[in-house]
Amino acid sequence: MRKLLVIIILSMVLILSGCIRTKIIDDIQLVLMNGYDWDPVNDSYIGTAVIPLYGNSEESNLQDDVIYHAESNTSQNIRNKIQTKTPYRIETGKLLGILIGEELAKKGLEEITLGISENQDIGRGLYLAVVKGESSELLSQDYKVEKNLPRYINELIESNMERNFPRTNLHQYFYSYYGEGMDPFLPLLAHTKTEVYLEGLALLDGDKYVDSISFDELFIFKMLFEPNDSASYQFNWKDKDTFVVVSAISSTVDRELTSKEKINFKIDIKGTVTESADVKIDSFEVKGELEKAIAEDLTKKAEDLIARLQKENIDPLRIGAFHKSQTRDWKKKEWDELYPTMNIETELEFKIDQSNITE
Amino acid sequence: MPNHANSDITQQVSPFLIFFIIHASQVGEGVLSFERFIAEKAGYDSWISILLTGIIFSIAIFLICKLSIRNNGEDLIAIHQSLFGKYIGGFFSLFFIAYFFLITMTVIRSYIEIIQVWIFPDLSVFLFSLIIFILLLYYVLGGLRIVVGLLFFSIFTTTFLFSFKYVAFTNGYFSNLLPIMDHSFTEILQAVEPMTYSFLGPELILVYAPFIHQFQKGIKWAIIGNLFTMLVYFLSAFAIFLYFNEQQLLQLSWPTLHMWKVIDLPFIERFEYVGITLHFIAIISTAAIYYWACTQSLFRLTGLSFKKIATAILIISIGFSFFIHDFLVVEFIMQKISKVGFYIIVAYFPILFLWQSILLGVKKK
Amino acid sequence: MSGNKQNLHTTKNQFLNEKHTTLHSLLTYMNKSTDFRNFPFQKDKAIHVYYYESLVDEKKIQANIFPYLENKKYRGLERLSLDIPSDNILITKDLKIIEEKLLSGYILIQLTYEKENVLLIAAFLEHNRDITAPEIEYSVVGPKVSFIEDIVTNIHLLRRRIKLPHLQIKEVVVGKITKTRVAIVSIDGITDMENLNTVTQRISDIEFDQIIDSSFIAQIISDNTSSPFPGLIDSERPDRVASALVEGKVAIICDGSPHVLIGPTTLPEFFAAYEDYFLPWHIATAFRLIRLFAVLFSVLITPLYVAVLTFHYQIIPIDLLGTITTSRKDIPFPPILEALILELTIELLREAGARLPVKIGQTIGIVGGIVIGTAAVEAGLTSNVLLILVALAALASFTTPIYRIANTIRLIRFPFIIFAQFWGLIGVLIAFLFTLGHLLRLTSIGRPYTQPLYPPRWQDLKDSFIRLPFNKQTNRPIFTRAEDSGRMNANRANKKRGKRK
Repeated sequence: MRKLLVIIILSMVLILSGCIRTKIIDDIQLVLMNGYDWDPVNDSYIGTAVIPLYGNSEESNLQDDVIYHAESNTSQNIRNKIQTKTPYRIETGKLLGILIGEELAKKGLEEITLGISENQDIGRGLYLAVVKGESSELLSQDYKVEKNLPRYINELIESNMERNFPRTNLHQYFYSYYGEGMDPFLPLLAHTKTEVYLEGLALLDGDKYVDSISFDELFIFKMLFEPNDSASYQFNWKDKDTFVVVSAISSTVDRELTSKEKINFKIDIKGTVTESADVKIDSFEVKGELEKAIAEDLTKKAEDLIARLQKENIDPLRIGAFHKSQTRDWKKKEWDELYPTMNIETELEFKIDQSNITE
Repeated sequence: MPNHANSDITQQVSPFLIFFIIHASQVGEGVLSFERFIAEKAGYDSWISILLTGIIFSIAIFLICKLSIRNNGEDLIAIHQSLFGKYIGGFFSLFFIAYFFLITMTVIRSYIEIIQVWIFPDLSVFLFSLIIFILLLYYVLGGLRIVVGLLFFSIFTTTFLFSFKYVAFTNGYFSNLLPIMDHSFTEILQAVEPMTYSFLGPELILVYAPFIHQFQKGIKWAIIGNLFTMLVYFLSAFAIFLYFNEQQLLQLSWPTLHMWKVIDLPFIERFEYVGITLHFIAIISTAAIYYWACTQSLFRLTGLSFKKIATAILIISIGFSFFIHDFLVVEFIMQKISKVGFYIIVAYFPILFLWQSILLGVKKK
Repeated sequence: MSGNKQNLHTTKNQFLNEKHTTLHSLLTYMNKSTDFRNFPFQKDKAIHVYYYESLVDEKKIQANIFPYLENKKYRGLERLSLDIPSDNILITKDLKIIEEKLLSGYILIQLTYEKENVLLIAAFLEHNRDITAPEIEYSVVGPKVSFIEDIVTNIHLLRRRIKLPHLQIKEVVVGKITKTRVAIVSIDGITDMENLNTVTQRISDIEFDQIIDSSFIAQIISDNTSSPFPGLIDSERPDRVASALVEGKVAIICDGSPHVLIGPTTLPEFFAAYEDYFLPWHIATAFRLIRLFAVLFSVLITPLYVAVLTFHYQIIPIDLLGTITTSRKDIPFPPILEALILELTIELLREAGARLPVKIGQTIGIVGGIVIGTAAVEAGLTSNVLLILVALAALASFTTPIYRIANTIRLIRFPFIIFAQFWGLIGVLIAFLFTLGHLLRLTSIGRPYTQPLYPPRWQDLKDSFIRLPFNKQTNRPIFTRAEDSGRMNANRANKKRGKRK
């Protein structure tokens, strides 16, 4: 009898407590990509949300997205405004990327990223990217893509990171944003009427977009930034007046603090020639010559890039963090003064290890 | 029904199971958040503090075990009685009972906080804690053997979850840890105190000692269990330190959960939802052993029916969670109770040990 | 406890207490039943014969016994008994024995001038079906023999496999009305006396009036009678039972039941088919692991579906999101209702299939599975993703070799689903912890049910969810507390192999 009573009470409690708000998958609207822009006229944010429209079968209508826009003075309010335009609850748990318009990126990302970091629903593996022009425009256009647009952009960035693009995601952004002695960088997207593409890398000073690296320089950046095994580089061999495309099989980077004000980058690349129209690499001499020419070219370009970063006083290569790890009682202030005048050198070794299938 | 009064052979557990009891009662909510607390004090040198705390606790465990063995393997209540007499000893025991109770409460309550923040913002604390405490009661009424069974299985889940820290070793930056010993030794010592909250649990040995078959053999397992905890915490902190830099870490309440956010397995994305769920087993088992200790001590002190005491504690706990809504209050209690735990381990037990030595010396003469 | 029951007994089952004080009154009482025969022999009616024609082989007695009664005069029963060519003969005046024997197929012979003592001669009517291949625990390789309803045949099947005088059988009669013969089988010197005593004690204490099948005994004597998990294994395979006896367990054979109970038992044993022992150890291990996975899958998949689709859309991989969302697009019900409807449908199909004759049952299975399944999806009542999951879960629940645990698995899924609706994944976890707590608290004949996992017995793990080769199984399982724990000398077993080279 007493057991029965306990069971009755328990089941009543269960029924009463069943009032947690459900998020049944077909009764919510999943935002797959967000865009933010800055409207200087009204002094307000423009938010864009891309929500996929799932049809009744897997094949049909899968590419269709609904795009909502809303304008508000705070980024948080945008979501509420978008909510007024959609029949179901908006959920951001499956966000694949957040695009920031150029204008807003120049003004600073802080308010947007604060909102993101406080939202537990949002993952950390998604991509934050800067858009040339306006993100709302990029997201609203109709492209011919296989998957729906957010997934297309997501995979565009992802597959490029396996090649020339340095690895980055929301976590990496926060890592370099909060960390001392480093500045974040983000993918830079651009679009034409028919396609979306990766333009290069957006470099940020703190949370402000200040400069960008073009696609051609990405190989240099990637080899300085992290070890990799599949980036490729088009080398303009001026002596022979031809182009040679090489790709890295393994590229390692080692930093060395030789004195308090001097840092050496030691880069060791083993590569393969993927395209060499006019040059036949059939003797040790030619091979040695090519290796030396590429090494010199890369060294120069690397030193140029570093000098440029020093000049602009931004540190996406995390040189400060490295300096910090090698110095006791490191002070951020001292470093900030030291960085632009720092002596940073590059030692580079390039070796061709494999040939390709054609002779 | 198990016999709670007489620890006969059917209620006893093998000595090597102390390994599991110690480890499972130590690993609770703390493993998700302790990195921030120690990094606040000693930065990224605080992994040294973890090792220090582990060593301190190993010594403490040795003292605690000796304390019991020198008193014929009896429990805390009996030790207090024989050292301080019936009334003063009883008072000390009551203090411990309150301590056990508060730990049970805060462990559960702080995890409910995590669930509210991360999964269900509109979770009803009262009803949820009701079902959790009924679950705990179900285990506790089964006796120590059943509670230890839960602890035993919980270790496999925590170890499984722990293995997911591998992301940090593939995506982290080793240079975060450099330069080593950039903080002064006093700073590192200061980080020992916040670390102790995550190591608390060995004080329960004195409650379950009579239930261990051949307790003498269990000492080594207790110390190994503690060292295993130390290893888990050490590697956890190591992983977190590699993955987040110091400034970023200080922004995060539960760094481990943030790290799980990036784990995308082929069939599961956003591992933190699974992680929080599975880690709940560790929370339940920590709470269960404290709940059992609280009931058992009260049972030994008063001699009332075990079932009635356990049910009474259930009602008090639910009342507790009904009236205390404010998380700040819970956090305040948590901080105070972890201080108390710290002093119990580093001060009270050594003093008790000395006092016992003196009394034994007098008796011998 | 027993005192209470005694009282109930005297007040409730009064008709059983109408004791017949004389043989005459007993026989007149029995004569009320039309299948009771009684007729005299010889002119002066010197000999009377009584028996139940339904229990006695009449051909046998007409050929073997009646000729001796017709003419010859006997001076006493002793003389008569010497003449009759049957071993199973006794002379008694105990009314209780007389009643019992008459009801089990003896004929009673009474001499007119010796009214007190009677002669009882066995003349059982044997009506047993043949020994057939096992149906429930069928195995492709290995012996194809299963128990039948007759207790003597069943004991015979065991004796054929264990040729030792140490195999001991203790017979108890239980059930106040059915008077069922129950044999408790053990091997002296291996079986733990405590286990044997507990089982004997519990069986002799049974107060129930009818024991029709061994499952009655299993339900009455198991440690926790309100647990959905079976407390004892029942098997129809003599080889499995013989092997269990050798391991030190106790077997209970119940007359009229083709299933023999084995105890104490543990949870992993329910996942071990006896066929596993006929296969190489790695294959057997793989099969056992598959079964374990199947059971976990079967219990957890529908609750997880409900939990994830109701609360945790975040953990669905992005590639799967489209598939799941589109399949649920037209469903008017929340996932919980969808799941419950489908689960109940499957249960209906199973129940209908089990009740109907085999051939129609098969048709029902096909009709239900294909027609109802596709129709439900096309009508937009359930999503096809869930249909696949539920069908797989139902299939997975039948992989357990012991049929009883399959029922349990299908039943405990429902609380899991309900908990999943309340707190999502955490609800599933809470339900799981309740189940774990229940399993930890459960015992089988006083031995923990979750052994060898907990309390951990590393040695017993060799034959639980995995199975190592026979030369590694040097000891009997710890949980049976076998008095002689060693199976063999590992050194010698390994040495022999060395010589073979």
